[in-house]
Amino acid sequence: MIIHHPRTAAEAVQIRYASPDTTVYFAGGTDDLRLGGAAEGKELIDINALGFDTIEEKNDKIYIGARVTLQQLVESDLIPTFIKEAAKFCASFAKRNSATVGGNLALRRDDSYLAAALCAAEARLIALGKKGEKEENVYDYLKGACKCLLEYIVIDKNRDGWVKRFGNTTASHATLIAAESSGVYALSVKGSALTCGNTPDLYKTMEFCDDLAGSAEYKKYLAKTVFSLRR
Amino acid sequence: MGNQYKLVKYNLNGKDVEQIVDVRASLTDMLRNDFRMTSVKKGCEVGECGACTVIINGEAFNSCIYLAVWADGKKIRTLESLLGPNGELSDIQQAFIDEAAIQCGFCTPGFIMSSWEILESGKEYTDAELRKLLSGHLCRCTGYENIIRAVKKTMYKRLGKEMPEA
Repeated sequence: MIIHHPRTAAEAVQIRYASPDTTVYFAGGTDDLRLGGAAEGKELIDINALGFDTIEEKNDKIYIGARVTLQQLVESDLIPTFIKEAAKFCASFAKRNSATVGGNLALRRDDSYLAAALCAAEARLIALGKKGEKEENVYDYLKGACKCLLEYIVIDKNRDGWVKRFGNTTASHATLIAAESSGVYALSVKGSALTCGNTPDLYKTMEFCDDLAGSAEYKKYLAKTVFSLRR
Repeated sequence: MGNQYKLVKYNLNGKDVEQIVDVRASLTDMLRNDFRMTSVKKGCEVGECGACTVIINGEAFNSCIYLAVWADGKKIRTLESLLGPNGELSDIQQAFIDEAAIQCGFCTPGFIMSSWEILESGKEYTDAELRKLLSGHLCRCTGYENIIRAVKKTMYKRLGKEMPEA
């Protein structure tokens, strides 16, 4: 394993694009440094010296640095309650002190609590790529692979919503996570791609699979009823 | 790419130390192998069991998934630092003994270090909140009840309040 220590965001991006198959960005390390982690990389690009670790309010928007830890999110007065709740689901106390918001999104997990909540909140992200800085919806970012360096996640101030988790046990990965905010719905189902839209009938466009988290029928039932039950 | 070994300078349990480490080494390995801090247990090494928990700049971290080089410039505390100048046990350690919150003892240092951050906050937590805050630790012996009780007892003692009966 090789660890790079770039001094600027542009340098980090340059390393990532130069060896796209072997490099990964490396922030809190809670996935990169664990056995069986989802991130696969022989070369780690340590981005811990690059900033992006603050939560700030500008023009009724909240700018969450990609290196903000999940615990910072939980403790911030600027973050809407339902997003804090999603962050709490993600990991234990000590792990939340390490794990970052950007890292959680970059993993593109199909059972990410935070991704569903941020999609429902219509969060946007600012990322640095080879052609410069770009801004896009978190939902669009999660759809495909991307070598960009995440810088900020931007949400509306005082956004209201809720997030609900279903799992076999409190300790197991979630079978389904549902989030809703101002008429935007998001569903994260284990084994299916995250889906987001303006209708609670998201399940109609989804495919479900049998796995250890539950049968396809069970997941479909949850996806079909979760929004109406919450309402 | 740069050198794969680095000099790390940090404060360990109140003492300034330095060590040359492989940039790939975990903090757990550095603390155990180079400084003999054997209270830092190697359990799962994936950040799930909490046995390796240490305090870094006042916050609890799983040291098995924390790089040793990140310790540079930080203040790190392990269980060894909780003892008084003459080897007296701290209040939380004594509470673990009093409440029989220990059996094999492997998970105990990690539990105590997370409890340390929880107690240092000076807040009063409910049982449910304490359970959630300690949920990153696994104990295969005690069934957790006595551990929660030990933390709760110390919390109320520090707050100067009577502990409500369950």
